[in-house]
Amino acid sequence: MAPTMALRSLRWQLQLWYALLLVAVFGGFGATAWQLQRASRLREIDRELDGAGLEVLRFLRENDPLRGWAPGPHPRRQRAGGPREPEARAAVYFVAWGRDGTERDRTPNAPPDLRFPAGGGQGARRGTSHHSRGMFREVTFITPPGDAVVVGRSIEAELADLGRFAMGLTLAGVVALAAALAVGAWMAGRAMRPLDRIGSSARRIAAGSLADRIDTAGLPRELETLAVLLNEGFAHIEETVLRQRRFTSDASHELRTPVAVVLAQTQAALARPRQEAEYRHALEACQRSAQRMRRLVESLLSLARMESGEEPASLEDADLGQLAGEAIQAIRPLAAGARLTLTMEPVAAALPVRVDPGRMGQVLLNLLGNAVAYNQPGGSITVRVGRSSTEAFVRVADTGIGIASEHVPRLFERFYRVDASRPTARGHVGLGLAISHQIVREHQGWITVESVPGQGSTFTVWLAMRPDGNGGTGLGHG
Amino acid sequence: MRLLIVEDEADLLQSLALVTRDEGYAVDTADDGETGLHKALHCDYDCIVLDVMLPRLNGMELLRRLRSVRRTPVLLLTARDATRDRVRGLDGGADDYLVKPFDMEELLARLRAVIRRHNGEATSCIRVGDYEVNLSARTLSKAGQVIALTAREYSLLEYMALRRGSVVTRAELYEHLFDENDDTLSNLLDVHVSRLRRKLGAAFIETRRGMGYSLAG
Repeated sequence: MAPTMALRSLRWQLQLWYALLLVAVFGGFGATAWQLQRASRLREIDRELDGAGLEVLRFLRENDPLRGWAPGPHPRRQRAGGPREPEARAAVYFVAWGRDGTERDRTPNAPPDLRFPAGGGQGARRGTSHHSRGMFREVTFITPPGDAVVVGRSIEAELADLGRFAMGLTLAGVVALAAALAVGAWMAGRAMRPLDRIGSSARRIAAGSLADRIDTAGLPRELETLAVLLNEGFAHIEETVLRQRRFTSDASHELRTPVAVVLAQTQAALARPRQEAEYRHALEACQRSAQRMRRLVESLLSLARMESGEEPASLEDADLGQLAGEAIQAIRPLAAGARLTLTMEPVAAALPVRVDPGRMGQVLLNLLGNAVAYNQPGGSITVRVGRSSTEAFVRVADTGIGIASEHVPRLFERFYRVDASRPTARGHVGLGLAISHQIVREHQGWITVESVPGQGSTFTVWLAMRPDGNGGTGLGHG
Repeated sequence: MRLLIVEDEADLLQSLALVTRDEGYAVDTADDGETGLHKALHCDYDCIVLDVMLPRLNGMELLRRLRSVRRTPVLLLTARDATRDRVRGLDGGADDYLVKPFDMEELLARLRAVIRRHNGEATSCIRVGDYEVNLSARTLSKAGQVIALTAREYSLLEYMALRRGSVVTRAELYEHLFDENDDTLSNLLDVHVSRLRRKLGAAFIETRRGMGYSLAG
């Protein structure tokens, strides 16, 4: 895995932070332990040096040269050179200075660089002070008159001890860190396994097995919520894709018949020499098929454009009654040709709506066209516009063949045909209601259908009214 | 050979009828399921070309009702090409299945095959005495020499060749060689029989008095 990839992996990030935390904890713990150990050892040494120092001081006081301090061996010196105590303790040394800075005594093992302490001399502050100097631990005594004695010893062995202790701590820390990291990695892996499962399911679904879902059984609760949400998303995608697939397949089926006509007509016409009238007939049939294909293609395109939002509705203030009136004028010749009575009930008041007049006109023409196409001889079409408290409506009622109730819910699906036994209205491609539905939905409105088979159907388009035409959008409906 | 074509798309129906008539079939047509079923039940067609999506009575239902009465061969035409649809069509009693859009040549070939199989012929060549009837080329030949026949004459010969060895009644010949628009009271049949006899020898078609005709050999 590339370093950046590793850094972006949740698992590796967790591991990294975990490792940093462990290093800090172990480091802090080890440093404290070492410090405590060191302080305790130094205290021990200091106590020893204090004891030795007091001994030296007493000796010096008793042999004050002003009172006849006789140089010569004193007990500490002898002991220093004498046999060691059982534990291998470094020899204590000392150096004594007079208050004038003259060296009065020095054990041979005293380091040569040991000088008269700065705090010594006449008028110096008396006292005792402990300090480390390289490999030595020393105590400085300043007597009230200003004499100085430094007692010390090498602490090399103790320092080496402490070093070994530090080494041991570090080693133990590293081992514990490695163990903890291994356990952490295992746990992180375990925690990530459900995510891997979700991921592989998602991959399978993306690769095309749309019906697949993430198995939520045994998932931790936090992930279960996520998986359930993802599954809902997948279900939605599956539905969309299947609908799209069905749409494509329906569209191609719709194209099969006109293509079949063109092929059959041309092959029949070309099979042998024909009369001019026969050629003319074949060409006319081909033209009809081509027109049908054109209508189908146009309908498909307009649906696709609406869906993609490529051409948003250009909303204008309009009056629903007026729109209905225009649509009725446009359909009147067709209704008259089919010997149908077309009436519009008088409109009581203006019905201000905000619509794309072109598209809403298309909806009304489609509903009126269907009312003509599926009517019965001598039938009628009645259009009524009106309002409820907040919505305006246009109602197109026909006295046609009606629609059986089981078909009503699917009526607005693309290419849905009530059934093949319905006499096919010329030129209908099965998309009119789907397009109308889409347009009305685009206007945040809806279409309702009531129908009694054999008696007729009533389609009603509901649209939100503009709040009294004062420029509000009036499209607040969900 | 007499066909019934049931298809609601007028332009398709017209060209199907034109081409099959050109091939010498007697062709009846229906543009909805009910009319189609009515005709199918009342006449012994050699084959029915049936669209699946039909007004008033869909093709599958027509087929189901027909099958309870008749074994007439059925060639389904449909825009649905999913395997499921084909299986449903064939299991529903269809003899063959053709998806729109199709080539006329293929439709004609399938028609010939369906009719041939229905008459129990495995190949397209039938030997009758010295003559050979080629069902796919729609020709009659003797010693490799093709004998020129009109479409009607060939149809008559083909029908009798498929029933060689048995007597074919005049009524049967009228039913299978003329369509609903032909005048069944005419003496067209006698005309065709005598023309065939002139071309193939008087003894080739034997007259069984009071029964009908049969092929010699």
